[in-house]
Amino acid sequence: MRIILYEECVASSHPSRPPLIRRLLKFFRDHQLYTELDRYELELVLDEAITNAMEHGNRWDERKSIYVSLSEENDFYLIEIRDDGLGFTHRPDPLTKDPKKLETRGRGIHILQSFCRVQWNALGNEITLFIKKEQTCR
Amino acid sequence: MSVALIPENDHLLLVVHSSRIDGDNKIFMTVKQSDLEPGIFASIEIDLQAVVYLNSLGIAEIISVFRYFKGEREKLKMVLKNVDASIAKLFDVVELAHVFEIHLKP
Repeated sequence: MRIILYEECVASSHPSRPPLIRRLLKFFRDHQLYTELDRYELELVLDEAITNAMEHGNRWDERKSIYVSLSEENDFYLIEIRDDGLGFTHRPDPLTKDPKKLETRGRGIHILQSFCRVQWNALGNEITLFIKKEQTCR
Repeated sequence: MSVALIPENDHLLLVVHSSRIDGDNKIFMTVKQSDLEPGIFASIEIDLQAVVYLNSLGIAEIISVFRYFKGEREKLKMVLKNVDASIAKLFDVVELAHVFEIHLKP
């Protein structure tokens, strides 16, 4: 059974992004929700997923919102982030090892998938991060 | 200022004073607004001693600095020094650990 621990809806704007990430991290800390990710990795996955939703989903349109929820189910904490965008079809990202073709962008999803299991809804405007619980703080 | 630029002959040292590189693009803006000729440097060194957080936007900024100084040249040596272990792991994850020379914090 999935139990919702935290939920929030915020406007997609540059100023609202860092406080939202801080509130989520504080919730993890205050409620002693320990995960297999360390503090840096947890902030990183929250940051990448929220930035993706605000930037690519809502195009930083302050009239659009993102919905964030944190829940727990069995051995995992689930973070769902939904934007008001049209969704997208995820394709494997083209990381290149060739310094001559280095792109500046397009690494966010690769980072997310490297640190946790990731799932999208059919439309592609809602991402769920599955973060494994751990008994003690890392 | 969030970054200091210290040129010495054909070597440039950038010392980052911010604790986070996460999307404000201040390092790249400082570089672009400087009087430095990008093509004259054979090697670039970025000191990340103060940096405790870097995300994909920060990686984009580091790449922008690299591309700016490399220009049309085949290659450019870029060293990231005093890198936190977590940040070094991120460069490994995005397969850039072999593009830049990464020296961990002692």
